[in-house]
Amino acid sequence: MTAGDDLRNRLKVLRAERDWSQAELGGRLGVSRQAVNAIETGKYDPSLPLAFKLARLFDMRIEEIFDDGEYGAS
Amino acid sequence: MLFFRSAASHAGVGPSVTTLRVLTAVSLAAYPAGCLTMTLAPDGRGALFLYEAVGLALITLALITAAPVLGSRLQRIVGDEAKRLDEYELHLRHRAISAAYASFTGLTCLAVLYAALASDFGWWTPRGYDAFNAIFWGVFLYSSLLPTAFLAWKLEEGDLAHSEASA
Repeated sequence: MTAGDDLRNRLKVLRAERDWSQAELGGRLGVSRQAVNAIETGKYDPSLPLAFKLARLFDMRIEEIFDDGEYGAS
Repeated sequence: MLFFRSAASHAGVGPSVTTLRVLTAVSLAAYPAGCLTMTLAPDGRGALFLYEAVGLALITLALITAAPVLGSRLQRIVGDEAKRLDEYELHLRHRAISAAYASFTGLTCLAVLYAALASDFGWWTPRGYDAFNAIFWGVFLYSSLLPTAFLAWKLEEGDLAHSEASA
C-alpha cells in the first residue's frame, strides 16, 4: 500500500479485543512496536505483504481492517 | 551513514528526541561556525590566537555533540544495515535520506555559487591542505547527521518509545 492520508484502520480495536500490547502484535508480525504504533495512528500505511499478514493474524479480509473511504466504513 | 552499535544496545541508545534535536542542531551549526571563525581570523598575534581558540572550541563542541548521536536510536534507522530494520524504519530512512539529499544538494549549489562569485569579487576561497581538510570533514559530518537531524525534527518521542506506557 502506498502512503495515503485517508486510510483508516481498526487495528487498535482488534488488538484491544485480543488484549495484545503493541509490542506483542509487533512480535507476531515481525515488526517493531513503533511500526504498529505508526500504523494505528495513521502515520504509516503498511505494505501489502504486512497487510496480508495482519489479515491472516486476525482472520479477516484486508478491507475489514483497512478502510480507504471509498466504500464506507467496514 | 554511520551507526555505532554497542554490544549493550543493538537498538541504539536513547537520548530523547528533544535532546537529539539539540545535539544535531548544535553540531551542524558549530562546525561551520568554528571553521569560519578560524578562517576569518585577522592578522595580529593576539587576535589570531583568540580567533583560533574560539574556532577550535566550536569545532570541538561540534564533535562532542555529534558523538552521542552516532549511537542513538535515530541514527540506527539511518545508518544500520537494512536487514536489521523493519519496513516502517526503512520508510523513515527513505524519507530522511531524501530530505537530507535535497538539503545537501541545496548547500552544494550555494557553495558552487559562492565559489563562482568569490573569484570575481576577490572573496576568500579555500586553498591548501587545512582548508580542504576542514571542508572534507564538514561534508562528512553533514552527510552523517543531516538525515538524523531530519528524523529528530519530524518524529515525536512517542513514535520511538519502546513501550506503550512511555509512548
